[in-house]
Amino acid sequence: MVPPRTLLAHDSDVEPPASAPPRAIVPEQVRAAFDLGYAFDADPQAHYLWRLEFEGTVALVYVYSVDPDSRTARVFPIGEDPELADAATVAATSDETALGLPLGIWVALERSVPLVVFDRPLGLDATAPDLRAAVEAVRRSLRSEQPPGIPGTWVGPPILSELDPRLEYRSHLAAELDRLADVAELLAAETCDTHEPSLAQLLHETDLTPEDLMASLGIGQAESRSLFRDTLPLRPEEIAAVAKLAGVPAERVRDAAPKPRASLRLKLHEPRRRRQTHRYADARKVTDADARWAAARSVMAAAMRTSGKGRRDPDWDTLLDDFFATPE
Amino acid sequence: MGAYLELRANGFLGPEGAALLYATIREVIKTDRVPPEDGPRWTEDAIREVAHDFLTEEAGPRRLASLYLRSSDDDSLARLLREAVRAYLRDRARRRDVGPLRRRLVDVLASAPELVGVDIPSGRAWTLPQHRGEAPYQRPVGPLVAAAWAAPNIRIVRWRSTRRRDPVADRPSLTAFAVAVLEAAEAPVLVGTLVEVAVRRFALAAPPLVIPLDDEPAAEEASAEQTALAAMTAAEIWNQLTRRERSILALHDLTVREIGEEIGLAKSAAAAARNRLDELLTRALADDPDAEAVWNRLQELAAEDRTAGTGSSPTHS
Repeated sequence: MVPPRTLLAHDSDVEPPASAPPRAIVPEQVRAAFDLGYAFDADPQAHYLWRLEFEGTVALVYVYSVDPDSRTARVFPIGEDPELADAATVAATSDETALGLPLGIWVALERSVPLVVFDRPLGLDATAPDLRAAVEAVRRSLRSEQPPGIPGTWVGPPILSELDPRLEYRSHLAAELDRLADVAELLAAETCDTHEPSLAQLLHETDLTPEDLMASLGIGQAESRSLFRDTLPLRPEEIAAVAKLAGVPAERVRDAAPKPRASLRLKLHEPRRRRQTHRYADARKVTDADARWAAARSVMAAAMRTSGKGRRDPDWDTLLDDFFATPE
Repeated sequence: MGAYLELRANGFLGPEGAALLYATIREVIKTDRVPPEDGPRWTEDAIREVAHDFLTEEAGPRRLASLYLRSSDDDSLARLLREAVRAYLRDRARRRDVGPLRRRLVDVLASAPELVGVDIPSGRAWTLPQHRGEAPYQRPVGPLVAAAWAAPNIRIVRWRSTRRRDPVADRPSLTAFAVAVLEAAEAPVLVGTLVEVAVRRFALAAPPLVIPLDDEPAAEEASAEQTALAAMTAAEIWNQLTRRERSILALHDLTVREIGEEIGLAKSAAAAARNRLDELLTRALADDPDAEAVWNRLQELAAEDRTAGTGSSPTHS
């Protein structure tokens, strides 16, 4: 058998030769396109690639059109495996997009998504004119049921069988985008849900004390007491810890725990707040998701102190400005 | 720091990322029951080899780019990595089967005077002299597969139960295949892409059709029990095939045009029907250790059916 080779410079205790070429690195163009991210202060525009993200759900898309009035955009999901393209998927070469990767643009999976899920553009440049023309031709052909009138090399072979493995891939891309398209509706529905018993009731049914939660979750006294008053949301790992302490299934704790208000969650995903969250995360070496959670928790607690548990939304912008203005 | 922040900060997997990759490969091998590649069991060396190849093969940077673009935290990175490793191990098993085809194709390409080899950043590519200055082919392989199917004078060597090591096609046929594909591409095509097209053209993706090309010792004869089991499986599959699929099975070695003429279909419809049948059999036999024996029995049933006329029942033996 061939002797094992080293994986990375960091692999185990074996160092590769100093002259070894750099390997297993994200292509520079991809990093540059991604890292441009929050420096780009503008609404999405047609024919650019964007990353969509909302609370852990991510999709990469080609923006077809933007409607500033409804704050929505029509997009096609993109996949990094153009060899899986079907007959309605345009295959982009590495020099046709700012990402510098061959991509598949799944035109048949067009969706309308709210602008609040737009995370960052992938590069400063729009896609190549030839690519745009091919995308337009395929979209038009889907609507008219006529062949797109472009060379066959632009799209993949048709899916002729239910057994074609590309169907699974296509479903996966569609499902991701559907989750993002439904964000506003999901959050609206969620605010109407009330769970009985509440977390406070659940905790009072057990012998747990605020001190137990402080020790187990590593939180302060004020936060612990807030949990007993149903005024503080729980992180996923905290849900698991509380469930273990209380001896109840995690689902019960998750259902009972208060969640950040939908209006606050949406607010935290607006472009300005995304930038602030990212800066906050960068300064503390945590993920954006962690930073967003910290902001939501702090702002929720502040809102409870000032306006109680009323159903009217507090002035999130003022509270968020205060949070992000607080020095480390 | 966590694997996610390492990747975000450096653009590569750091110590925690490498540990996550190893753990993921171990987990997928276990949950998906991936058979060992060398020897009776997976060793740590073999796992390191898989991890290395996962990152440094031609598609490695693209895999890493996908993780970079789509992950948001450690959890999502772990989930995406698991999906990528699973797809990679599946693909790796298939490629190991076609390794000999790759070697044979490279040998044929290098000795064909009408073809030109060019070195491009991502590897060795081949083209026709008039296209050597073009950018490498990056479009889907579908049109190339269609061109390969349309190429004349390709003779497929028949599979036989007693000879597991027959070549998939003779040298002139492989040369004709390469010329047809490169004419359609109008650009240099990487060897890996040509192999991918050959796999589809010669239906090598189907487990029973994987024909190693090296001159290795013939496999041992199957036991009577294995033969009986294979015949039962073949009968089960046969009973689920339509009349047209049975006819195509009997004519499987002919060109698409010839199949079409025999069963009264246009060439494109015959090609689609044969592809569907290949796909169906691939799925049906994907996990069958005796896939080749089942395939051979199916061909016998098809030949008997064609000789006797349509509508016969399988012979259970």
